[in-house]
Amino acid sequence: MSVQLRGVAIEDTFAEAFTMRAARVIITARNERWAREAALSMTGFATSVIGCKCEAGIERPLSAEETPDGRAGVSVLLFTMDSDSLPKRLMERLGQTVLTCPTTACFDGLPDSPDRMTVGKSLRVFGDGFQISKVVGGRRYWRIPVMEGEFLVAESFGRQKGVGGGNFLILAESAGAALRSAEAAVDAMRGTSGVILPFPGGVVRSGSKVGSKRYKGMIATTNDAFAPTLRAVTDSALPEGVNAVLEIVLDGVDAASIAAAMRAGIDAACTDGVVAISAGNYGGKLGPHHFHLRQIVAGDGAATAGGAKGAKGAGSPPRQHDGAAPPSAPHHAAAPRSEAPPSAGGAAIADRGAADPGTVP
Amino acid sequence: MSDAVVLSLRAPLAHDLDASCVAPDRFAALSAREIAELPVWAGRTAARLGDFFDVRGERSARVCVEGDTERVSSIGRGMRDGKLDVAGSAGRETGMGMAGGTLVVHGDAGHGAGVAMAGGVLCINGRAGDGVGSAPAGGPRGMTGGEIIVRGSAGRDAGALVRRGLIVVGGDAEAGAGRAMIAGTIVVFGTLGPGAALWSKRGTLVAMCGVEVPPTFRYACTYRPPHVALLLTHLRSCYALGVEECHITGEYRRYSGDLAELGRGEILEWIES
Repeated sequence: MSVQLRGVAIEDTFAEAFTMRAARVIITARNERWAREAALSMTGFATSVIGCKCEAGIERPLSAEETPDGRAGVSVLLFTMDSDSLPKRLMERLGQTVLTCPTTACFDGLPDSPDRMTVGKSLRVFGDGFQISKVVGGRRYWRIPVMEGEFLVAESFGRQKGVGGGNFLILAESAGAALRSAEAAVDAMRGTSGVILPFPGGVVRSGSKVGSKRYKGMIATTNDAFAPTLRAVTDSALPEGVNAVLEIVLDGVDAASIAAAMRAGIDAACTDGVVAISAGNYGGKLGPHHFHLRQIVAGDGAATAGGAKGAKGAGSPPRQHDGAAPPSAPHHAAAPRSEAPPSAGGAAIADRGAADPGTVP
Repeated sequence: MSDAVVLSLRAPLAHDLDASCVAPDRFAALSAREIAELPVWAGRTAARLGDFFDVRGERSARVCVEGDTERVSSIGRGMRDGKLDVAGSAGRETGMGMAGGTLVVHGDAGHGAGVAMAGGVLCINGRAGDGVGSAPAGGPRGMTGGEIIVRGSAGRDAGALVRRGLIVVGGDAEAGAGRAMIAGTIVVFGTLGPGAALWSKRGTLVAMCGVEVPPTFRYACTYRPPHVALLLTHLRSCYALGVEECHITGEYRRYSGDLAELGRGEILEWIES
């Protein structure tokens, strides 16, 4: 049975997503410009856990009425694959990008979460003993003296489970058509509460498959099944007439947020020159969250709990190529290591060397 | 179980009445008869609560005290939970040692309101007497937690020896506000009497209408303290205090002190731009 949306085929497949750990950070500043500058710095180089150790993005700008201190703000979401690394990534990023940015203050965006990370408590030591704590509304904050005045940061931040790796693929007649469609999708999805699009402009051109056909140490390489230049030499998944593919990847605080954003994005993506909408998965064996495109489009697309029995990797990134997985396994972008020696591949881009959370930023 | 327990004072009191037993968390488990049997002190005379108050309702952590209760002291003493409304004014030591819950005095409160308070919220819609949030007589420290909101003015020594917590005075504060503070925060929207924050170790005194800075404090800088914006936004949203935008976005002179003590305290004086 064919399902079409404004002439665009919606393939009978699903996006496979993973359980991650999420934090929400509210950054405020004297004006929107500096709140955004801090948020952009904090979310820089955070496209994929494969090479960046975390995934982060701007959730949405906040008005003065929505922030704890009545100033302009930005809500940022940050995701990691495991609980332990989340406070480390927050420490690094808040310490280097928000503390350093003029006029900013930093608040917890998940205040009701019982699972707490004492990030501000660790950052406070930058104050070299001159820091001062204040309790406001039952929550403790740290005032860290800096050259401009003071940096105010919440003592602890909430941590909760999130969902990473929601995605869909835009299969288009041309690169131009794919880009126009992706831009429309991103515009429709941006600002959706509870969701971020961690890649540049929200779009990925280098979807990856798990592992490598040639380099033993690589944990992710180009998704040849969806690369149009390889149609003649690989087991291609591209329908006839498709000459470019772009992927939209999204992380969210829960499956419902991702489903809602995917629905808006797919609807907007069905533009002229788009042949089909597909999605990346691992055959349903790795990620517990499955977003079936046709259900999403029909409006009942809450993620189905994974049919993947024994999916021990539910909370972990894919490490090795699963021979049983279909050739189409596009997911996050691969690290550009095309000629890396096999022995160095995986280790070089694996999550390692996490900083001591007590380190002074 | 009732929606609320209502205590109605039958007649104006000739003597001070110590009603330490009036606390919503205690009433939550008591019948109306048991509440009426609770002990009170009328001057030096032991009596029962029911001798002075009509009791309506039972087994509720929401309590309302009605009548001319200006001479009823220690209302809400040591309360840990629930909601207690005093429809009129309250006597001495209202909310003394309270550790939780919300106590609202719709009129004035006598001396020693919130003394040795450890938690919860004490709202005084009128004026507070001397020593609000301070230490009990001879005690080493004042309140150690919670929030006291005085919408009117406060008497002498507001927040003296405060260890932790927040005191907000919507009107003026007489001499000695924040005297010998150990830590915590005091915000005064009106004028401050002399000796404010004198001998304080740590803590913050925010003065919106000028302050006579003690000579043992030293000027540091003029800036926008981010925690003041956070605090004032919190006060506006949680207590509907009429905080003006210029106070939230304005600049403050910071004085460090008391340098005759630990010197880690501060006076933040709002300046009109």
